[in-house]
Amino acid sequence: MLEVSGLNVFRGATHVLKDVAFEVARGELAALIGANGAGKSTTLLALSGLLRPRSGQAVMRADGQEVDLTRASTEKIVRSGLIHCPEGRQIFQSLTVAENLAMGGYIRTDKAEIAAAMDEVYALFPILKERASLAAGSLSGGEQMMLAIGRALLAAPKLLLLDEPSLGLAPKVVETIFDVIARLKAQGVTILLIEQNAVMALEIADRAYVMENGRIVLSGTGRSLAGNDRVRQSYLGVPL
Amino acid sequence: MSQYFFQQLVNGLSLGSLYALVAIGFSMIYGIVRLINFAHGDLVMIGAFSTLAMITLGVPWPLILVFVLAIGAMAGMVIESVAFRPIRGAPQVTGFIATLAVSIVIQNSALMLLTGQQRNFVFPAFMRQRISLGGVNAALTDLVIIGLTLVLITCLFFIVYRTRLGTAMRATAENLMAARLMGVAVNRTILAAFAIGSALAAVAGLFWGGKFGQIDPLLGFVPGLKAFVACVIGGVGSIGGAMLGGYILGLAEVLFVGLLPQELSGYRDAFVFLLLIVILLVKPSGLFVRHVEDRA
Amino acid sequence: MSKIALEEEGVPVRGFAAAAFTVVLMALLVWLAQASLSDYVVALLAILFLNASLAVSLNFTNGFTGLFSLGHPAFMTIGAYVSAILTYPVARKSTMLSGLPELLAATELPLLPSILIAGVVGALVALVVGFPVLRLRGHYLAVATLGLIVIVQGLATNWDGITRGGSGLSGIPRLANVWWAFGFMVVVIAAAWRIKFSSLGRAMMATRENELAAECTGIDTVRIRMLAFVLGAFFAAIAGALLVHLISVVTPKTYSVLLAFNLVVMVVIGGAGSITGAVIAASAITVLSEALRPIEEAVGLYGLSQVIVALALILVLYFRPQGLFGSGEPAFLRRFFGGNRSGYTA
Repeated sequence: MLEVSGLNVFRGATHVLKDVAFEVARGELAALIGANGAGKSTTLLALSGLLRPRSGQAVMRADGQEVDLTRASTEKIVRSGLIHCPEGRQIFQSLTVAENLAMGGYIRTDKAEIAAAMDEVYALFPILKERASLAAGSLSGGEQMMLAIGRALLAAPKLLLLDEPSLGLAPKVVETIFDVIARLKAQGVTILLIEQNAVMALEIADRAYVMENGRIVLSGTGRSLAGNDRVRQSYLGVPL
Repeated sequence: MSQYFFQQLVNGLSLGSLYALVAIGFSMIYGIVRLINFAHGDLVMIGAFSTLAMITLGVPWPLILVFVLAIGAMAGMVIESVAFRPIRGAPQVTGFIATLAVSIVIQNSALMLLTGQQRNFVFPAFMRQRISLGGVNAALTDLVIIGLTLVLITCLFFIVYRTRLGTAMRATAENLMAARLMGVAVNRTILAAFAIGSALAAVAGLFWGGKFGQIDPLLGFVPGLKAFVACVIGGVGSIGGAMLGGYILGLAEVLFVGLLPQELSGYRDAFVFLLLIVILLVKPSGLFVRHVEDRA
Repeated sequence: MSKIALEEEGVPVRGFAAAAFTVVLMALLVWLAQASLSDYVVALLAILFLNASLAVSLNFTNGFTGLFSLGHPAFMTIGAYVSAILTYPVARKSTMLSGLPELLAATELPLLPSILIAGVVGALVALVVGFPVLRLRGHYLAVATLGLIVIVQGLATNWDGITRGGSGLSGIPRLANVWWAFGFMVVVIAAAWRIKFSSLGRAMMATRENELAAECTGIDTVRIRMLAFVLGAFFAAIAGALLVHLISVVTPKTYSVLLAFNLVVMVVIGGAGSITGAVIAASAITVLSEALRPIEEAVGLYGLSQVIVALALILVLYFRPQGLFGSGEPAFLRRFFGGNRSGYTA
């Protein structure tokens, strides 16, 4: 569904992504792990059109349509089903929870469908329903993450990009979030997951890539990478 | 209630209505692109002269109101796409200088076309009468201004808080990147904010002319700066705050002029800016603090 | 808290000699101009020198220290009125300026003391006003300084006892001429150059770039910003004083937002922080505005030159926001007059 090759992205004068290439097949959950500053978030920004690569290809194929992510506007990319849930959640603090979710459904026109999707999200995250008319800024970190994911879901994503969903959250909350991610995967949503928390990411990933200094240095299934010595030493905190 | 007091109240609310209209637009623009738009006041001038032109052409009044809104909206959109969009993302001060430059271009272009002389401008005769309300009376002009402003503001609040466009504007104002990721066409949303804000400022120009009777190409400077003061009073970035700030400023100004001896009434503008400086120091987030981020 | 001092930066004796030589050379040119060109051109030259001084002095606040101040016209107005009142012939004071206190009404000073006093008054006002206003940053500071213009204009219009209100003062003795303007410009440029390439100048630029970081290296940014603001005001007030003795009239509206804008244009086009840039831009804009004047009159489009200047600024902001020289000075001038590379060319 997602095919990236030879991607070179610069931020200012710095060469952040160097010849990055990877794939995500339909229905898969692919994980991109790596240390801070490796370039993982930059990758997602390039995919959703917020950053333009200097060279390389990134193509999304869904429902018979092909979108060139390196050229299309973010609006077009989002309308084609690529939904990017950015780092730090980035919810609209002064809007209510319900309004945040409504913004998620911005690109959809069918009111009935949107309402149904909202109900689904409320079923998935009952706490959001409780807080529906409160300002989103008053939610806790974990609740905000749920709101961010709920918001992304309201867009009916074909390809969901999740940037560090566990960042700054308590372990118990992280478990809940990953449960939700697993459920989404079970529902057939294709997911590209970025995580510093390599353990949890590799556990649920079908396919995983390791990024170091802007390059993909390892790839394989989630399980195989979890057993890989280098990965274990660098990212899973297992002493050799 | 004494006639004098009532008169001052009406004056204050009427002046406050003008300031509120301009301040709301100013605040919408600041909220969505973090720009102190120095050229906003000149839209008041554009509205006033458009009104004059239409009066001369014999356009009926209700239509004048509609056209002024449209002209203001278009002017605002042109200014945004030509002058401000190219420098979006530039440092704060660069943006401000650019708005200053745009203001100068507008003012001097108007001077070139219209010359600096004052033009007279009157509302139709029936507007200039006084209406009696249970023992006191007030100019119909003032009452109409107050009433129409309330209507316009209500429409505005409806748009901003109850429509998809309004939610998109608020989302974009809060977090542009996240709004883009929701598929919001950010450029068009920003244009819409400019259109609405500018339309309101243009209508304020219509009212301004009717209330003060005289207009000239440089009239925009003072309302523009006062709109900024009103926003600061009410809390920068908050539309409701801007509105309240506008009314408070109008009432305060009238109070100031009314209370002080005659010789000092010429200081009314200076007083307003002194007030600004005091507020910026004492309570920079404004008197009505909602969730406001300090972008300064 | 470290002490900021105007260190000798190893400016070689050659640098000082070069400067002296250049000044003498320019003075010769001015003398030539005065001898051979029309009064009109000489007057224009004087205005040009003063505009250049104003633009350079604006660099203290806007350029070096990054304080976006639009307040220069306010200080010019103060300087103009103060010095005019001091040099006004006693005989006319009683009729024209009835509100003056006895001491002032009886005094009539020559030009130099009056402009110095004007400068000091301007500096004092800046000191007082600076305490509240300088707590602001960025565009808030800009708008607050605009408010200063309005407040000073309001005072000048209403305090008619000593300012004659809206009609302003006229018949001010024409004590200044192109030599005063030239001398002032030399002083301002010399002061700016010396400060820029000293530790004070570096402290100012550090404050501009990153206040927090500057504080961490022991720079008292509050004091630096105040110093910059006061210096700018001092020179602006003197410039206003000199101008008023050149053209003999002043009204509350003479030095307005438009002038503030034009000065900002000069600084931006020249490059914020560049002395050379300020001088060149100021000269170019002064000459351009004058050159366009006959065209304006011919076509009846008053305000055309102003529109052109504003459009030029917008274009510069899009295509070359750092202006001509960024915040540096051209290398050959630095070699000639001394002064190390200040390091902030954009």
